Amino acid sequence: MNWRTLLTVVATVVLTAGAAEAQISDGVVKIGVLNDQSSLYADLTGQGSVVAARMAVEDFGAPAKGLKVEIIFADHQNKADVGSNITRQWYDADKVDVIVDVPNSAVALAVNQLTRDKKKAFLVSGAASSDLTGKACSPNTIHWTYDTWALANGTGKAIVKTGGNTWFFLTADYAFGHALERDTEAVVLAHGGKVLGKVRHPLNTADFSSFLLQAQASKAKIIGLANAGGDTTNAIKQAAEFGIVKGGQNLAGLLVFLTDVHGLGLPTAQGLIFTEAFYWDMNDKTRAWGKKFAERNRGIHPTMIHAGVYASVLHYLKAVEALKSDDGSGVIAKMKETPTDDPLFGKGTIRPDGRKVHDMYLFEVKKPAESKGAWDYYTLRATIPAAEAFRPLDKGDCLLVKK
Amino acid sequence: MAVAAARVVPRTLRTESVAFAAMVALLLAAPAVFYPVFLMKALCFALFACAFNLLVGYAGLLSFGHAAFLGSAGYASAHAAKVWGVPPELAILFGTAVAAVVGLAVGALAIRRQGIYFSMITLALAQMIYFFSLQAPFTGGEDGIQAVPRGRLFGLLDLNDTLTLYFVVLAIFLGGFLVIYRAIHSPFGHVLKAIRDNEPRAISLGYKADHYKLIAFVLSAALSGLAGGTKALVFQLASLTDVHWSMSGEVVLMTLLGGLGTVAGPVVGAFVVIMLEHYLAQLGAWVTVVQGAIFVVCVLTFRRGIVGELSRLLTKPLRMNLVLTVEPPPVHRAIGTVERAQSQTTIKVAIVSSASGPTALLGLAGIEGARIAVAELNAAGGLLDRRLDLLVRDDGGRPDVGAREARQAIVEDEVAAVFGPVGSDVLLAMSDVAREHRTILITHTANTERALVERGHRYIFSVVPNTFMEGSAVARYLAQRPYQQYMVVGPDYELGHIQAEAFERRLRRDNAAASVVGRTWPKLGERHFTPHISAILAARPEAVYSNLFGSDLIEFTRQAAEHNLFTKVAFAGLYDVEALQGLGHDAVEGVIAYERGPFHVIRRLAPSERFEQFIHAYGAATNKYPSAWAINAYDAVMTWARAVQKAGTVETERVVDALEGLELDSLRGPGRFIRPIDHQANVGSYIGVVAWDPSFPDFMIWRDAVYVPGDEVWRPEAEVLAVRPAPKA
Amino acid sequence: MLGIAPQALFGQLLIGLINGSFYAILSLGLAVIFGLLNIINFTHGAQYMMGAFGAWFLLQYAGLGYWWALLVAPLLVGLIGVVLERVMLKRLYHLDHLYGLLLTFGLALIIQGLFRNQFGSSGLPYAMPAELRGGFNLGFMFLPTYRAWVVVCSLLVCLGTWYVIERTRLGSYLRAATENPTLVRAFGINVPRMITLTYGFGVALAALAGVLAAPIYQVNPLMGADLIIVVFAVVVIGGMGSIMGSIVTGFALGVIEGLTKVFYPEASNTVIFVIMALVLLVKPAGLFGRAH
Repeated sequence: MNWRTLLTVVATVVLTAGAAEAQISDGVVKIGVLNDQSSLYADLTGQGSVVAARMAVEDFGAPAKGLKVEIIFADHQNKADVGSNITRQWYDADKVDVIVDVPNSAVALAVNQLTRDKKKAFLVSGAASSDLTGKACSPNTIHWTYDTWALANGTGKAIVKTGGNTWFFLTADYAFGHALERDTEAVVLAHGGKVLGKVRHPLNTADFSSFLLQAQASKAKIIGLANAGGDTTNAIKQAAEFGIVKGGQNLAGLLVFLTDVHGLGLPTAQGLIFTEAFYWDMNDKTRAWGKKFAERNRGIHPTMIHAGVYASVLHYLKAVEALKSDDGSGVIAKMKETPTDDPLFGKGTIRPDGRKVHDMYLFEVKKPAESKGAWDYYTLRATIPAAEAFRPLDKGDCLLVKK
Repeated sequence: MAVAAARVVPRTLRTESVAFAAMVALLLAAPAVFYPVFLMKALCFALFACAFNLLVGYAGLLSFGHAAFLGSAGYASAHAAKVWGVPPELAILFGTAVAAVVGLAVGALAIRRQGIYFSMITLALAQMIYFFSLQAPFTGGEDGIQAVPRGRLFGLLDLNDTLTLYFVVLAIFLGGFLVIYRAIHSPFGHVLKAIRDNEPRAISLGYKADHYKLIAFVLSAALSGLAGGTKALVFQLASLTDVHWSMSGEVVLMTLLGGLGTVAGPVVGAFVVIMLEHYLAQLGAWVTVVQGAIFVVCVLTFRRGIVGELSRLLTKPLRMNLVLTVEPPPVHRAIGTVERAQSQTTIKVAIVSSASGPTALLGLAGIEGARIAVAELNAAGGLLDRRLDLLVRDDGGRPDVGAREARQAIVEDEVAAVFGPVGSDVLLAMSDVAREHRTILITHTANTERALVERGHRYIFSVVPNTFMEGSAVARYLAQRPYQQYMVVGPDYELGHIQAEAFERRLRRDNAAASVVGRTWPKLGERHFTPHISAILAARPEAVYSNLFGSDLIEFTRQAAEHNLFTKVAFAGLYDVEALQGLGHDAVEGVIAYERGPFHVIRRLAPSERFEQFIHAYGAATNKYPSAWAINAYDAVMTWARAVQKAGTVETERVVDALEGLELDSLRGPGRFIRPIDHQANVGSYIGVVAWDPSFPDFMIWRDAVYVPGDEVWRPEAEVLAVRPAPKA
Repeated sequence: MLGIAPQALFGQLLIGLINGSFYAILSLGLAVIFGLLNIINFTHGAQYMMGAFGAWFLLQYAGLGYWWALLVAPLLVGLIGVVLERVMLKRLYHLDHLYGLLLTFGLALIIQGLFRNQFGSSGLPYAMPAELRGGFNLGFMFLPTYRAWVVVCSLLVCLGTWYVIERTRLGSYLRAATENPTLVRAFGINVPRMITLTYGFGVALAALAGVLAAPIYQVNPLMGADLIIVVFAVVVIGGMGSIMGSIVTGFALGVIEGLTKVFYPEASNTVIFVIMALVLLVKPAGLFGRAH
């Protein structure tokens, strides 16, 4: 290597400098929305979550209160390493104070750890793993919206009670899928049901034919889909192709979102039963918010994740205002002390393990004839009160909980 | 001999040390300005790319599965640090060791194949490792191994401090970089480059190519593992991304962009790619588009990469060749001329032969022989008082390339005559060109009779026994022996088949009881002869006639000896001086050998001062004894020169007239003439038995050698006419 | 039999056959391209994806349904392939084969990236043609009509291609040009044009597979990315220039993969690569390949 190549190396390193320069800015509350912007979860979180965060900041009235708030966002591509790199960069170099959303439990767990190490704040709306308030609970994390235990408890119990007592699981092979399968299995067994078999599929599978065939062969009454997003809709579509429902088995979508139903269409999705934490057409407040959101989000109505982002950011800003600081651990503690109140989830509380509790709802997808138009998809079947909806505080192995 | 592919240029140690020191200083100061984690990422990838470059740039092996080593080391280190609680230095070492072991396994399997198949095997094996990582419980599947503790290095340095970690990573990178640098510039590295440029030649020189390649592979894998283990600790995460095939593609991208086969290229390439990914991350999928565009641009127009192009641009006008750069991996291309004179005071001739490819061994010898002839002529005052210029062109063993090079030499460089090639199929193609452009072509190695008889014409001449003659000579020799069942083995192209035909015809004529029970045809450049050896053994012949040659014969002999073939059958092969020097102690005593100009026999039959001088000159240039390929090339040039002297001009038609009937100016001795009917010289075949001789301790020569004059075995003129009319233009 | 219910076995075998149909068409295209151009067409996966998108575009913007798409999409994508060959691939023929591989790899990245930018990764739905909905109850499983159609169509296309290449004069020119382009050129045949058209044909095959895939798999920009690696393995196993080899191996490996899913599902992803590594070590030219 001679001086010429040295020159090249120098030039390169200098050019790369811009990429990594740290911007020092304080006096600004910087919110980072980290989620899947381009892959299978993009519609149920994605840019919609950024919109929701912005709406929360506006409704909070930050400028009037003398608080400067900034929102940035990034795509973690469902990869733990990409997500953790972005997180690290945000915390170290970009002075981000709080990260919100993060669907995909693998990424969420990584972000959870980093947030804890760096004593920032993490408001989970998108991810599902109940480990976030269990084994991996942290004083810097709040788990809003839903988790695998709540889904399992809501959907699983409801289905078993109505006669679906033999199950076969089709599970996405990562943290979320495993957690969902584990929690649902526990519910099924606790209510006298049986699990006849399980099969794991890679995330983002295109062809479920061979897995569905195994499910069919098991003759279980219920095929539980322990996956989400594109995987769920693919499985449902192909199940229709293979005549699974016609053959007498039923599909239980353990995690289904409004956008999934929209993508499937009512003819295919009708009759699906699942648990969610929010639906835009529940009451006037939610309807008003839902319409406003849809206008800003290309007509796509909000999923419960979007709602969770809105509510958690709102509550966070209130805590920051009260504390007059954006120190991560402090704000989270303040958020736990303060009861929550927002137009979407109503009144609620946050437990010591970071779990936000609110009512959960059991929905059924309407038949095409019952729907009055686009996005009018759900009928409310039951409300699960907050006290029962989530895993009991002492059952989670969370070290923050004093036994 | 400067015909090697690399434009290897001397470098000064001092400039390189200064440059290196400057790079170190820069990197030491960098964290003051830039985000250290970003720098550490770039350093890890730079090390990865350097390790990859060792394999592709210097050993010529494009591995498409290098992610396997990065990733498996990452998992190993992460597991060791997190689950076993091992201190960081041991975790990284463990990762490196795991990668080395995986590299050994993959390499041992992949090395057996070359080119595209090698790449495909590495891809397949890497995919297996990917899916294993997906399933194995300890890797955590999609989640990966998270929260890997950084620990304290040697119990002293707290790696949780970003700056401390940075300097540690920098030290690791520099260490790895220096290891690679030393390896490249060591004798090991030179052999590696020789193997990359011309494997058959390296084998003929006695190097076990496979061993060297495997060592390079393991070294590359281990250093990739070092990068992977370090990365796992820096990011505290080991995930599937690091074993996915797109990671293998990324390291190719970095190395290609930076410059394949340059020392600094991979470092530059890694930094640039990481920077691009960072800048464009906001734009989501544009990153892949840009990466793809870089690939396309680099492959089409920018093959030398950033460092390669820069050095080329900067060294050309300045004529300061300080950078150790190398042309892109071996590819058929012409070799630069020795001198390119433009004046009227020179006569230009060209030799188009194989300086690369499976027949390079013979080609290079011929080129050297021709060179010595031209040098001698110039030393004696030139030809017709003009200096003689020899243009050297590489046909790579391919007919289309040979034809193209010949055409170019004739049309653009206006050579007075063309010599060469090695391959008989190349000869046929070049012969068409020579006829089309009415230029003299003298073959001194390729010897298919078809070029002179069925497809002969006025402008082609041969100073080497053709296939009919050689095959018949050996057949005549063997027919006197008691063998009745023969097997034929030869290279699967023009030469192999035509010469075997001639052999069989003569054999049947001279020994009615003899028959050929089987024939087997390995490909030219074949490396695995076991199926053919088995075929021979299965057919149970008494004797085997082989017209394999060069490095093919060397490999065949080694492998056949392992199967004890030579104890079971009598064997007659083209054990010329090249083959015997290449085999060394692996040659087999007692086998029958035939060739076209063994120096040790010529010394006895036709000794001359001139011949000894030639041997000396050849030895000075190559450190070897000259083979028939060199001797005959010398003869070709000298004979043409003699014809030119006789005609008094280089004008083709007059020289052709002079050549017909001319006595050869030959190192092999007097009494050889070119007969007009097919322009074949009555040069003969030498046949003997391989044996040790005390005067040559390093390689075997022959005993009981005989000379079969060409005119005793060539096709009678009447028959030539029967096959075709008298040669016409 | 072997502790597995025959139903499950036959069912998975049939699924395997269906998957094998895709492998067969795709590896056929790759084998045709490699056989004549000696180029490993890494872009094949992206071209498969373009075929599927082509079908979607045709439906969305031109109102042309599935049956039209089967014809038009491969033609369009094949044309794009012809342009690619003329503009870029041509320049690499005189170089080491590996440069062709790197170029097509880069092209695949570009194409996939552009589509991802435009359409995201989640994919677009493509409706199944009405004529092919529903299915047959075979007893051991319910076979959707469309999937049966996939097998039939792929068999027809593969055997048709094989017939043209191995049994017609055009095919014999193609094969001769592989062995000895100079000689074939001497016969007055425009070899460069033949090469270009062959590349276009191979690409069109990939696009056809894409159209076949559109109704059952999500039409998304990355649908070809991981598939192409498996198809490479199939082609290598079959023999890189062998037409029949790629067809037979495609179907066979689909079935083997299906069987593996029954007996040892964890290995189903790797079994093809294991077989490939073994074949490369024992019979490097592939099971049906002619040594080059």
